[in-house]
Amino acid sequence: MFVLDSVQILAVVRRSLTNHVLPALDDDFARVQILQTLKALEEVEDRLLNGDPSARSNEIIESGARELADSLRGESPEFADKLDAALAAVPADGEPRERARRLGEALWPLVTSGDELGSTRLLELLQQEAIRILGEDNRWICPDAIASLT
Amino acid sequence: MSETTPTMAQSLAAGLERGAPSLSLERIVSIDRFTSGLSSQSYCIEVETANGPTRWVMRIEPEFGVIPPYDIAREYRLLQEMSAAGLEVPQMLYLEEDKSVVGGRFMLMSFVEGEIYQSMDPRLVDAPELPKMQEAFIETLVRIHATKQTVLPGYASGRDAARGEVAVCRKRLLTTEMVPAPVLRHALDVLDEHAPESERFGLLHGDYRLPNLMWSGDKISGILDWELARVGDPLSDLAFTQTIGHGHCSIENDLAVRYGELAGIEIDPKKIQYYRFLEMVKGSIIGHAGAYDLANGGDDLRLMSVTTIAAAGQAMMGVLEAQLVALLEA
Repeated sequence: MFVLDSVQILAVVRRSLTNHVLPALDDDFARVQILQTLKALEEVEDRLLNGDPSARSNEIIESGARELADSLRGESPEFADKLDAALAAVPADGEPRERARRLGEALWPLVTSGDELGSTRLLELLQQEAIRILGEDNRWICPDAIASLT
Repeated sequence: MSETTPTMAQSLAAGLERGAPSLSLERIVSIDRFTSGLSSQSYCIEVETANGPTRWVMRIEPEFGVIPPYDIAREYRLLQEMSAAGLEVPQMLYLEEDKSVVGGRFMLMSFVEGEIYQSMDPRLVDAPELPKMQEAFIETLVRIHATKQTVLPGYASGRDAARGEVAVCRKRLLTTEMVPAPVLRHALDVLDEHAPESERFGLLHGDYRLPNLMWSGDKISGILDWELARVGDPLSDLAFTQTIGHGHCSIENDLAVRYGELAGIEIDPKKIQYYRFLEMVKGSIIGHAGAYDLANGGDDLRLMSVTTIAAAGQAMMGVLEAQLVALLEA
């Protein structure tokens, strides 16, 4: 479909599922699969328009960790150096989730390193990012999917 | 019959004629999937047998699923013991270990008649039968906790059992973690370090909540879904009813006092807090496992929402962890 862009294709698929498939389904399990499909298509459309949320998360963690390293140079220089080294060890390019995996694996030893100030503040940074992701990701929960499970 | 199951019906009928001739199956009339449940897929099988029409329930062990590793054969043996002990569980009819019959090992059990309620079911708001149902809910849990079993692995102490559960969670996380979850890893370290001793330990249901019970009026007619059963501190099951199973039958406040009276144990708020946190962590790990399942051939899209909700749990983990440590070290 050369003429339509990706967002337009997703929109028409969503309309078709909503108008033609969903009303014809009697099977509860099939219905909830379609309702969740509509949410998934909405999420993909958002990524096409606004970029991959994993890439955004990587940027936030990396910049936050750099700021943390700078702020600890006086009080905990050894930890700051280790944090610099950990960030430098993560390749600058690559698929966002692979980068997220490498970033996580690089930072985790520092969380558990026992540096009273550095480890605590790094964990706080990661927890703050988890909270931010929650706020963004909540939009993609399909209430019917959850209701069918509880 | 569901569109997806004619092939399954043929294969199942052939498998049962071969492996379970005592069931005297003559014809499978219909196979319908239950929509509830995320792990083992359950189906209602309507059949005609030499003894007349009847209904069975088939549970199929998933290949990945959200709470690996699965062992449906162990669940089958445990349910046989629970039935023999007089608990209200379905009658076990057949265990098929050949994965080729319906795409996974499965067990067949009797169909239990009854009503199922959601944890916060609107039908129970101000329902006159609710107090009696709550009493039955607690009394049945006390009986489960007092039941002896020989199927599940035991532990030397309640603390060992708690640490054992943390180890299971850690293994599950490491197996299914597609992107590192440092918040969860740290929570597991904290739980391992602070695992409490227990006044008593024994059989736990592990998933004790309203949607896993069948009701006949205000009496429980069936206790279902034993795949998370394990040995541990009974307070762990109480904490589960307050978190994942939160709703009309959360065993807290007066209901917790009642449980303590019936079971003859003290409800230690610190231990309850520990097990509540453990349940939150387990819930978040289930979310990771859901994403892993989808990335490895799973096709139940509802897992996408489950994974997202689990991430929500992870966001709260830092605060909960700090509260727990402060409480336990006070």
